[in-house]
Amino acid sequence: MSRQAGAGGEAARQIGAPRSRVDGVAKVTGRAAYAADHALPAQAHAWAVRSPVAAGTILGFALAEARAVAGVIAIYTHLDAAQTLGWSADNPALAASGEALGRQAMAQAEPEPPPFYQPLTGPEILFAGQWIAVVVAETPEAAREAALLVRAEIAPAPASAVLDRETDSFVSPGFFFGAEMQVARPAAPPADAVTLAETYATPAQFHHPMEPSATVADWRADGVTIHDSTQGVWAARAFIARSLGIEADRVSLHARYVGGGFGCKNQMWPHQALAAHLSRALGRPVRLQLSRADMSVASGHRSQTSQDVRLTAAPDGALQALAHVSWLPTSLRGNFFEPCGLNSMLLYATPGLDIRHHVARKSIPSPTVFRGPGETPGSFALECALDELARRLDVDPIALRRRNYAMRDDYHGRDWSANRLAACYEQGAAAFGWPQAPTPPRARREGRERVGIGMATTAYPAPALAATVRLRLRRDGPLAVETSATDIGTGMATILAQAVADGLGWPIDDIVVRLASTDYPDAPTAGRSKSTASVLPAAAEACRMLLERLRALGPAPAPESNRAPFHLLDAAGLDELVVEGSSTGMPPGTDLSFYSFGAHFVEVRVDEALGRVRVSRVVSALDCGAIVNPKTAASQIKGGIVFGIGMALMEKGEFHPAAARLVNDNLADYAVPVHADVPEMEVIFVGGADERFNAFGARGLGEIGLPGVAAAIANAVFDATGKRIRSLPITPADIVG
Amino acid sequence: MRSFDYLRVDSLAQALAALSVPGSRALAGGTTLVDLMKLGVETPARLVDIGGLPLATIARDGEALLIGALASNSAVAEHPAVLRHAPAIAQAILSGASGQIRNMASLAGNLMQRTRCPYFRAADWPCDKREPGSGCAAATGSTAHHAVLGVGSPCRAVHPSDLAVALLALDAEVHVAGPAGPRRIAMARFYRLPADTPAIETELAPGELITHVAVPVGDLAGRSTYLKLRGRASYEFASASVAAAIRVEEGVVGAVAVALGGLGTVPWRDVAAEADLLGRPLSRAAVDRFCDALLAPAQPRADNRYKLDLARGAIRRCLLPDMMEETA
Amino acid sequence: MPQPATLTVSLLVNGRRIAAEIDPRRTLLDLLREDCGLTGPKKGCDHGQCGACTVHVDGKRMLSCLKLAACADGHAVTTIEGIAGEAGLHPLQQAFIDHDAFQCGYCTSGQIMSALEALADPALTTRAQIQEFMSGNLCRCGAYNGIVDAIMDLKADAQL
Repeated sequence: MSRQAGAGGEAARQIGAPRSRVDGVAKVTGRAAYAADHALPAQAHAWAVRSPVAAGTILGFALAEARAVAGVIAIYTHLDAAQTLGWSADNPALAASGEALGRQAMAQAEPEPPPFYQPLTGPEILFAGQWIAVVVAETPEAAREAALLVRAEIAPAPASAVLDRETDSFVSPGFFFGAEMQVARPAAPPADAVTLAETYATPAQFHHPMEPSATVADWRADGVTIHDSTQGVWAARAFIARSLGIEADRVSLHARYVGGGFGCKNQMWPHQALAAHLSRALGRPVRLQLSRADMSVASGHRSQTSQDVRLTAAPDGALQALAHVSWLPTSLRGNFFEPCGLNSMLLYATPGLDIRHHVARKSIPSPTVFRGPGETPGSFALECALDELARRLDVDPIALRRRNYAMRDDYHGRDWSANRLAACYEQGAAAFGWPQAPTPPRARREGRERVGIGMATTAYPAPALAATVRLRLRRDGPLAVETSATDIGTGMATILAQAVADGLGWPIDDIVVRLASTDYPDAPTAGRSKSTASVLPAAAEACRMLLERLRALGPAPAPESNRAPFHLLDAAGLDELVVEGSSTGMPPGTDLSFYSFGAHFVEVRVDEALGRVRVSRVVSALDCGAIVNPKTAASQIKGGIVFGIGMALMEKGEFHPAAARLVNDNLADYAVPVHADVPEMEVIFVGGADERFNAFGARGLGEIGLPGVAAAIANAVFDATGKRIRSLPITPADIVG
Repeated sequence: MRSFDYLRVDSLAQALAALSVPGSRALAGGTTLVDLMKLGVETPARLVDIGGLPLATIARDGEALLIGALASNSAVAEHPAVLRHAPAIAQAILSGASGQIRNMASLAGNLMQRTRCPYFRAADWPCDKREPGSGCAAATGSTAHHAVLGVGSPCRAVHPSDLAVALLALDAEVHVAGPAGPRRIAMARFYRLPADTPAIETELAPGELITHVAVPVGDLAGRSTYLKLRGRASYEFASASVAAAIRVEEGVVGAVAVALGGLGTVPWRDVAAEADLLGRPLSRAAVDRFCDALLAPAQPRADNRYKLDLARGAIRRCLLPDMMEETA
Repeated sequence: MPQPATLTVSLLVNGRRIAAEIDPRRTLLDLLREDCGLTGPKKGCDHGQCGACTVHVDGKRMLSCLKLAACADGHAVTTIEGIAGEAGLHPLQQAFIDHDAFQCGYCTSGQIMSALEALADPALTTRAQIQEFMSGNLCRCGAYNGIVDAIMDLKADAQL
């Protein structure tokens, strides 16, 4: 064992090295405990009952049969939840819930915002799938049986879940996701301008992380302990505490292992608080795990979009005007809508700009953030339209994008902190073997398959928030790194170990990383690709502080000693040294635009006679600043590409038009990519530290793998077949039709 | 899942006796039944676990391949005699479900699996198949994955089995045991069209149990193939599938068998259309005429008309050599 | 309503004899998770659509969510918790770590239990064959490349 804190420079540098995950052993042995893996003594099991109708009024319940099921402890509905559970719609926690996201933007368009949705608080049905009862029983079997036997009498009312641009009433919301949602920058196009105007559509999509959300709550006299499946432990604690009406420090919340999130565990949803209310009412631990069907209706989704893109260009391809008008639903009481125009505001240089978002309230569960919210569906429209323009002008699609390269962020009026998108085009095209000159569609055929290629740009902002990391150096234990940041599969635990190993010159194998607990200092919710840039600088600061404290204890013994820091502790009579380092979020005092960029290159093979489309090759080149861990970073990008394959070729929430109810609320009918759908993918990081962003030069990369992928695939399908498909997903019916 | 009594039986006689009690259902691999019980769609009062019965043998018996009802789908797909004499069966099985399910599910269970119509699979949609008289949510909903052939009034739930399509093309017979003794049912009449009684799916009488399936061995079956089309590359039910075998002698069709999956409320075949192809020179035009006849009874809606194109493409791919496929 | 009748089942789980008094409705997955404390097998869909609950029964991979525990009576079950040797990780577990064959880890035990069967099947040699073989195990994080790499890596070792 070699421990040489402060010795400096001896150990191999960890930052930038392709390290295997430090929590790998826990994950490959089944020892990693996710929320629902926690089984507490006398734990009861909760199961929700969903409304089959999309609108109407609950007239009453017949619960005798359900209550008679052996093992049933209690059944709660809106008729008694307030009294028995202290569960109400007048709950301050709702302002911090997923229902509230977008409230300010919508409030600018709606003079009287509707009240927040809260299930089990009233007879009104707002969407199909709304929870109308919750059963608690001794066993999961009893809870599920009773749930099947809960009879609700509902007077149904008409409802509509699918956008109708002709008849729906739309409002035009204001500032959201750091940008105005209505932007106009007029410019007069030249007389010889070419105009392309098309409408693109993306369907409702579901996050479906492999782990359905779950909350295990254990209420005790002195507080409540929660095992939760969340991307943000401090936010979840605040939400649950406010809902219970208790001080936040009486809620202890843990989420060390989270089985994927992709946004659906980013915001707060009713089940997280409900489990705690149930435990308090029953005086025993309660586990509430959402069913796979619940995951479509009770923790958000990406809504459908309908987007008009109008590109006006000079004959040489120079954009004169870019209009991107999005028509979007939100729920009757919620506020989130897809900000599809975000990339269109700044990714290409254009004198004229017209970005609009119009939102209609529909009888759907509230949509929410989903990997690349806005950028993902927006890039499908924008990057397909650019491909169509390139075809119209008979120019190479990369050349068209280079012709309109944004030398700075014109929307925000700022310079890029760093922008290596040109290198992404260059290196990606070279690795892919992109042709020098454009070829007409249907030009290439191999055997029975038509082969096509397509590309698209991706971009995603690089935010950062304040975070704190604690280092705990004990005489008798490993060096512990503690922060409440979550690792939902991102690799946070691993890059923290790398950062601390480098910061202290400490062997990485002698570092334990403790994450995702309210026992540890505050860090932001994992989401919007901000964790790396938020947490690592805090870790670096903690390392500096620890070294300082060690130096203050006295001169280090001979550097060849493996026990140098421990001798210092011994000599000082200390059992442990604890420091907390914090980061400040965005670099102060800079007036720069921080973005990551990339380009996806895709090859598809289409068997037209059989309606079969398969993605056969993907190369993605990305500028995400310096890469902390090329291994986990590449995995995350590949994960985004796989989402893009699903988005392009299979994923579609299907609503029954008359019932306004989601039909495919399961993993057989809502198809996501399987092994056989996914080719070997090549991920290139073009490198280049973004030193104006943070000392590591690193930007996050959770989202950027996804935007643009579906467009690149659709563009490749056009190249292969000559069919321009503007409504996702591209199905066999589109190919043979 | 509703409560039930569980009874394990060790012999066919015990099984038949137990299944004669109303409310009893046979349980083998459980991949359909347990799934539907969790959904509240199936609510048997008693499960009779027949998993231990000695009905898993696969053997050649004279001019037939006998496949035991409890042979796992994996065992059938891997069996050398199946691969040699009825490759379409192995291909059909391997194109269906997942390896885990194929290891669990039995041959008979595959034939008895229920439709994947989403309205059937959730107890709170109207569905005449699940709950006669409740209506049909598909009548007013998306039917992109529903049947175009054998549509009832109004049930258009697709039969999901790949295996059944192969067995239909290969003229297999289902052997059953029951209170009235053993009998054989040809695959061609094993499944019932929904007509006005979509809840009744097969010719099996109450209390009857499949014991094995007999597949005639012959030159045609030995050259059979199965082609399955679907949106994602694997682990998905068919948008369209074809089990086919053809023998061409000096350019002329000597023998042909074609069954369709993914299009019908039951696995679909038209022997009269096949007979019309016999003796004709094999050409794209001849195959297209065959497809016209086979698909003539189709009642597509706008959202599932594409299945007819898929079926035509798949049939051409199976029957025609490469060069003929694209030239009309 | 009367208490449902219970059943006694006895099975070998990771080589240990387990006897339990169960509700006939209990699935093998819930038996493992709730009664045996083996939470490696995961509930991803509970309807046989995701593969996260994959275990081996008598040496064959199966979906424990669709198997009634009663039907496992008298059989031998192996879960992810039972595959490492005395000396440490099973080589496949190590290969999963080396190839970054997971992100969140929730599907991982199911992927590994399926992949073990792939390793044992000499007929599977190509990447495409392994992809098809593994397609019953969904991974929403999209770690598919790494999973196939891990399997191919061990297949290559076996050839040496």
